[in-house]
Amino acid sequence: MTEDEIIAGCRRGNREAQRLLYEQTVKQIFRLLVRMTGDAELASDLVQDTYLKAFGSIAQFNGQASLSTWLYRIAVNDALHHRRRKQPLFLAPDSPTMLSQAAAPSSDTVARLDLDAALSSLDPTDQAILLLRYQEGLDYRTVADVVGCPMGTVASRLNRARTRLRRLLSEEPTAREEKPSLAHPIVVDQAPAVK
Amino acid sequence: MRHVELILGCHQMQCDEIREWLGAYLDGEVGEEMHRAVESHLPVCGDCSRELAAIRRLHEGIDEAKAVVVPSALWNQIEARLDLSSRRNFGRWLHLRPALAVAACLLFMVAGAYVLLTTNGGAGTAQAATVNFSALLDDVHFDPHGAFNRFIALYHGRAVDVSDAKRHAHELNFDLPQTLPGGFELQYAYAMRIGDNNAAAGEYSRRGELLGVIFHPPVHPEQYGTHQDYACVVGEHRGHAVAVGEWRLVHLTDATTCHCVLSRLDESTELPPILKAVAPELKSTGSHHHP
Repeated sequence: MTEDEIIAGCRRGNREAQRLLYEQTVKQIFRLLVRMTGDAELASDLVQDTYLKAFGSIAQFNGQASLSTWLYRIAVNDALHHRRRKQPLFLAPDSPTMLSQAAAPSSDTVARLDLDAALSSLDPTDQAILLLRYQEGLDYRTVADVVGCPMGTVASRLNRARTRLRRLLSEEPTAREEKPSLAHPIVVDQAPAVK
Repeated sequence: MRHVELILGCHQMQCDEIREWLGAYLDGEVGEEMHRAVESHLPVCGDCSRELAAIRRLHEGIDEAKAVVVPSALWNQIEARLDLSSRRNFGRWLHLRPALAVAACLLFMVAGAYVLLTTNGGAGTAQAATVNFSALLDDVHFDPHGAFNRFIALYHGRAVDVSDAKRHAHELNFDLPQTLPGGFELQYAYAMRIGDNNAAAGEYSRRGELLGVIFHPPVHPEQYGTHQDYACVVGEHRGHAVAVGEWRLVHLTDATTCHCVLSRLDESTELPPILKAVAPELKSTGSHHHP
């Protein structure tokens, strides 16, 4: 079944088409949500919500983005929405509580954070952008499509997130570290590649 | 090195600008001009080269933790919610068409009256939620794992730790050991909900061969669809079973728990040690055909 046939089938509520769409995309959606939430059970719940929303609103899918980009968008929005609702899981960046939970308290707490703990302490949108780019391998244009922001913002948020991550991992960028924002436009040399 | 950098014109301002672009450069997201500028700068600037290496390590670190296993029951859970949603939508459809709803109610009442008149009048059938094994039995021959997972999802099953499954269904007597006699390994423990009661299940596998165990309170009548159950003896326990090809769904019930085992094992020789492992407190004389 081609992607067009799967979309047409899902629009008719065809269960086989829905199952195919799920099977072709669930690994990447689940992987992203596990990393965003740090909780496989919560990620499973969000995966269910993502696909139910996708099946329920597939009539609105206009084909401008790829199907997987569209699913990423639903999943990321769901995860961000959930983080906003569930404060204990969604502490603000720099929250001392999050840092102390993530690593053994010491005079050098930040240095002890491992990568996942450091990722979880990022601004949720920055974290999503970082994971979409480096875990899922999406290019800047596709990441921008998923999170609904300009490509320049993707680049500047990536810079900011990298700088913060390295600081948390105690790999302090030197005095001349990356600047937190980029004003210049990004030139895309390659076509959007969605895994 | 610093000497070389100075000779070739590497200075603070140039480094600052280059570093803004190092991430995008690694990502292949810079234009030709900037690409050339970075390429010519890196060989003469140790600091920026180290910065590039550090960013690359960070990217690789984020990319590393990719291996996740999607829970096998996830699609069944989605499918169960899709079915539920369809039923709700039908309810909403009726709500918006009151005349049809009234007609449907009347039809339902007439059909109900017919059933009551043509059976024993419904005496003694105060119905708790039933445990409907019919779909599981229909499909087990063709797709045992899928059929078992759909059954689990039908009763709101979610994969949990064994300790959580026991806590969830603490009123039931059962165990879910990691390994069962015969070499079956526990794949998933499930917490379930049947009607108003908690239930639990376990999914075991031996080189791909399924063995499923389900534990629920004996208050729930069981349905087998078109399949017939028969009395059986497993070790020192009397119970009942349903056979579908080489598959057996065996039930042994005591005062607190119905222990159901779905397997291809022989009831008289292979099943007794399995039963002893998953139902260590099953009373030897108490097993019977439950409601």
